[in-house]
Amino acid sequence: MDAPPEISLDEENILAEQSAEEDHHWIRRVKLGNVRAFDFLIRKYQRRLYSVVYNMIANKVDAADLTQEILVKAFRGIHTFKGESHFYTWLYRIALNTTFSFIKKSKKTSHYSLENWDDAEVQANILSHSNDLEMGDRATLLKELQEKLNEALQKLSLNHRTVVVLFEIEGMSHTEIAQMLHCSEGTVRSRLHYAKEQLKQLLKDYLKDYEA
Amino acid sequence: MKPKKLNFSLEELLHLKRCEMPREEFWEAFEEQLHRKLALEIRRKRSFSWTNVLDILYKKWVHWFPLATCLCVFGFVVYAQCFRVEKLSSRFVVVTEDVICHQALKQFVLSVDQQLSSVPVRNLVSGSQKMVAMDTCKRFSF
Repeated sequence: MDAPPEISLDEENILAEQSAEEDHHWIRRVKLGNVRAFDFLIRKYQRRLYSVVYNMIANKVDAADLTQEILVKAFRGIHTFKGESHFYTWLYRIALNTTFSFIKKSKKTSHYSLENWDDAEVQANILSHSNDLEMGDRATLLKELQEKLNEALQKLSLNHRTVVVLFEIEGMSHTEIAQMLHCSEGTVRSRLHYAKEQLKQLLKDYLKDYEA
Repeated sequence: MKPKKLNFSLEELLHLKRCEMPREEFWEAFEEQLHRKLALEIRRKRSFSWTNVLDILYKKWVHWFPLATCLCVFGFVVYAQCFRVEKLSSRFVVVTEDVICHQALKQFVLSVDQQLSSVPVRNLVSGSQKMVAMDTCKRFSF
């Protein structure tokens, strides 16, 4: 299969601008009273929001509830969105604040409930990184790896976990993260560095050539 | 048991987490539930309640609250100052009137005293009238 064509930085910027314009168009319609227009925004962002929340709390049931709560909050407050920043920055800020308060509230009662990880992409990835393993071993390893990875992420502090989730898993830039968290880019970079060091230490048995 | 070492880098391992997503069936149920919650929210928005009104008033006036507080404090201070001056001046007026209208006051107190002395003792049930008369005489010491 052919690899997808690479997108240059300029093209990426153009796409981002188009996406922002599209968002503003739908937001204007919602503000004018067209409730159905919010559906477009829901479909566009629900998966990304779910992913952030899920990776922050490692519980799929709570993540679904929280994502819904975030979208309802966004709908309630859409009239206060002035368009000074990107809509997704605003939305992610609501998501992070809601998730933070949830984590603080349920600190002592947290438990994991993980998503299925038997996706073809993961299978292929694991296969390419563990040629000498049999099928049965691979499935066990897959489960173990997922658990360890989530456990390691949950061991990070809230600030460090947020930066890792947004940068490494969601693929956001340092600037975007800094805007969302109201801190400098330097702070984001240093948090990311520290968090990665901690993760490497926690996952050293699964990583190649890692020496503490 | 020590796990078998893999050839992953940390970044590759974290990228794997992008695949941890629910299946398509989940999203149908999710959207349905979300629409129900949004419908409730819309109904809540449209229905009238005092909490809504208070909420709106609060949202509208919350920015004016510090200014209003300052104005109230300032008003109170100004009022307190005026009241104090008025009180002082009224005391002064009383004193001057006391001097000026000494004769008239003396006559008034005497007439009250006469009236009180003409009332039979059994009628002074509370005794307050007598006390007033006595007090007046003592204070002015005619």
